[in-house]
Amino acid sequence: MIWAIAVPLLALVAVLQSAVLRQIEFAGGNLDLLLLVVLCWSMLRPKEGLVWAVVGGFAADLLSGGPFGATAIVYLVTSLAAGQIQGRLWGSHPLIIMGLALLGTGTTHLLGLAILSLTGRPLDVGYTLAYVTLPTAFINVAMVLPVFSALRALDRFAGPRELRSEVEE
Amino acid sequence: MLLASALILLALGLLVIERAGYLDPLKNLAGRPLLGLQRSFSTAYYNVRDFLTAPRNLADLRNENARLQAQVSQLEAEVVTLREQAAEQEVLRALLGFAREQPASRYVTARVIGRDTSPFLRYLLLDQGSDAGVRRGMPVVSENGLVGRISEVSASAAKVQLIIDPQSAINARVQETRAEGVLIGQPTGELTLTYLAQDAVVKAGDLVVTSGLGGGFPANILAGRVVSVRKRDYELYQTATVLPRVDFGRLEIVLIIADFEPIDIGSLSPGQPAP
Repeated sequence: MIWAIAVPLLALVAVLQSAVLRQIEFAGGNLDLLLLVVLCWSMLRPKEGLVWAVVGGFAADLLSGGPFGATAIVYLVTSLAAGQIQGRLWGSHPLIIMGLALLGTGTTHLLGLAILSLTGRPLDVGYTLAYVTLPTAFINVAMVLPVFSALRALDRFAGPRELRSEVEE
Repeated sequence: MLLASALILLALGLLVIERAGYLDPLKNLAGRPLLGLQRSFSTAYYNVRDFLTAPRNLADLRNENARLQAQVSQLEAEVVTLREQAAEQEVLRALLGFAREQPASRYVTARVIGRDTSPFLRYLLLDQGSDAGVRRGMPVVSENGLVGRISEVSASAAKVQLIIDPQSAINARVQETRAEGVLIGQPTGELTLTYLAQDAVVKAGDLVVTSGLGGGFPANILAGRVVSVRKRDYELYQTATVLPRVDFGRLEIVLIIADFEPIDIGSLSPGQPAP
């Protein structure tokens, strides 16, 4: 079930990200829908979230000029952190979800910059954080609740959380 | 935790294998369905954007002719399609004009079907690949000037590294004074012309073109216009900020210069043994 949902959904979101969302800029930032989908699913089902992170990361890397596997690593770390933090905090309160979107965007961008630097593509970190990460983080925070609601509906539709119960045990 | 470690190791392994270039067939295979989907999304997005930015009289007409709503809807759809075709024709006409000005070159026309998913990188996805004769390193231009260079090719698609990508560096010169420098992409979307000699005369408004040095690009392709110059006595070189002529946010169709063979000057470096 997880693959049946994850692969087409994440491929679709990656294409949407590349074909449409990357062209719609607000103050230098874009909505990172793929990250939000991975992040929200990791909050709902931490173990499956890891698989979603890999699938989403590879889909993004196929449509990027960056090193293949970089986004998958970044999403994996973010998904792992989101699953751990969310499990220790109070349910799915909107503020926690928004806080995780903020942290997730920051972590993703910092790790992304680090990997690009390690693979021989150093960027101006200060400028990038101020003019790309900050606006993207605000947009992601503003949009995370509708994305979370949609994925919670999908979570209910997808059936019992077998994997999640294993993690929680 | 075990799953996470395994997946991270998998991703790291693929990252290393990809750096060695062994992953290209797999990437092409996996990318093919995504690129097909990408084309449809891209076309739909352009249609919607053109509809939303169309002149208001379309909406007025629709309101005034409420009783003909069904017919108007049909006409609207036709107008959108025609406007799209007209805009495309205008771009193609401009591209044709550019191609006529450069008769020595052979071009492959390609449509932009996507942007890089990473917010830090400036790449475009094109709908033409090696099947159409596109090769890595080929320069990409539009009617307004230089766009970038092909960085990756699959059978039916290609990735272009834009000149505004922070990793892009192009040998260029100021057209008026022939002062030479290196044009480097900036995250701001501007370009910086560096390594300009201190005694070179450069001023705002000067045009910047490719110099052809290094063999990466043909000479004399327009890249942008100087907007400001920084000259300090204690620095070795002058630096100029250059505004690209191409509006990268609105690029829909580009030309790939198909008969230009980039020259690999790496073999000329001192460390290389003579053949």
